[in-house]
Amino acid sequence: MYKIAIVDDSEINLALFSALVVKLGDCRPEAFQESLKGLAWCSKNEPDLVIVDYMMPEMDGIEWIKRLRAVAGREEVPILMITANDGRGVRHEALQIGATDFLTKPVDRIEFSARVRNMLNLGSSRKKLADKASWLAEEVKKATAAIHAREQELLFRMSRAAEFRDPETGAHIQRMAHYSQLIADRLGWSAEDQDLILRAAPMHDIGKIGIPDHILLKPGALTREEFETMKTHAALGYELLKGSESAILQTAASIALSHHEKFDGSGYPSGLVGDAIPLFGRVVTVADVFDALTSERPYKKAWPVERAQALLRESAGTHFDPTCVDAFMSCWDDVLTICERYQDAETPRR
Amino acid sequence: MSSSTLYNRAEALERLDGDEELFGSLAELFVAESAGYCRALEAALVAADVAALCREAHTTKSMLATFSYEAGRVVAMELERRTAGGSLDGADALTAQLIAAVKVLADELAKELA
Repeated sequence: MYKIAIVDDSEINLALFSALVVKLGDCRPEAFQESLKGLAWCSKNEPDLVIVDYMMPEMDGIEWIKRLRAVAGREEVPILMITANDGRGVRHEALQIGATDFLTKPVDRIEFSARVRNMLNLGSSRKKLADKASWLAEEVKKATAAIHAREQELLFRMSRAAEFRDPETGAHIQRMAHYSQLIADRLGWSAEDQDLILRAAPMHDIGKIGIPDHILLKPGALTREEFETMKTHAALGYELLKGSESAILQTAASIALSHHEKFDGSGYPSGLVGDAIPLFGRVVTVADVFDALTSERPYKKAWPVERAQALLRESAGTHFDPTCVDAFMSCWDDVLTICERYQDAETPRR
Repeated sequence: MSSSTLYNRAEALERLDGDEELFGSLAELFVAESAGYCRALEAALVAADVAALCREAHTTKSMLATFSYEAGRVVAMELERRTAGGSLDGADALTAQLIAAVKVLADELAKELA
């Protein structure tokens, strides 16, 4: 049932238009003799069509249409203005402010019915188009979410593949990623960037896939030559991840390449100094080193967190970006919570 | 129904697609409301409210046109035209004529409804 609002100060016109609307069969009239009441109703309800008189005492039809068009969601409602042979100027002004069509008094039933039916059809078509656009937008959203989910799964599996060859554990990956997010939060990053670092950080060591087992899994200290080979994992990870259109992979590539750079320029592979090191890399470096220190490895015991905390402080400005260290220290309770939450089954911590 | 010579009943009815019942309802409303139209016209004239008089003339014109009462509609149109220009010149006489026209049509319709 179509809802048709009729606004006219004349009771006879209201009766006439209401009767003609009822005769259409599938329409229900809502008649208003007071223009303000009609405006209030049309603002709360969504009419399929509005019929409004031009000459009314409280405000004329032009002003009435202007006010209705200003209501959110009423920009497209078809409006039929009833005029009594008013001049062209009135019609032009009405069209400019949003009247859809006109009808001249005295109203002829056949013309009225045809005009109203056409306008209702126009409104229905417009709604169908809007619904289709909305449906399409929803489908695009779903497809994008599916692609995003597949991307996440692939990234997760890539990280897992690296873990299979790396003595470092899945829990380490989880902790350092969450530490990175904590730092990003304290640095005032947007929620999107925090999410980006959380998802990209786990791939920081993916280049270790390309390091021979006898070096990667060696329990003791590496020789100078072996260490040089080990250092190539940063560039290898970058080569593996670079060139993607995915923001996560782009970020992961940057992190892989820069997470062994040091603030004073003594790191590798490029010896970058200070702000020349990508910020994502500077953040991950703090998180990664802290967790490496506090984790047990085949060649060392886990450091107490207080000792690792002290080393971070001492190395702020040399190894680490001091701003990132400050951010990390400023959320120490959260650091400990993450440390507790992501535990390796056989390596009790602290 | 009688065939009035005052207004063009056939034309008015044709616009309503021959719906006698609807015509009767509108006629009843006009009869009931006619005194109100006359009062509004008089009040606007007495107050020398040219905008209100113009609006009332416009409304009355539309009512008279609904019943195809051409002679009355022409008077209303003239009153509206003059007052729309902001002038009350000749408004006394035109208002009186228009009020008389409204009363005549109301009497005629009332007779038909009786």
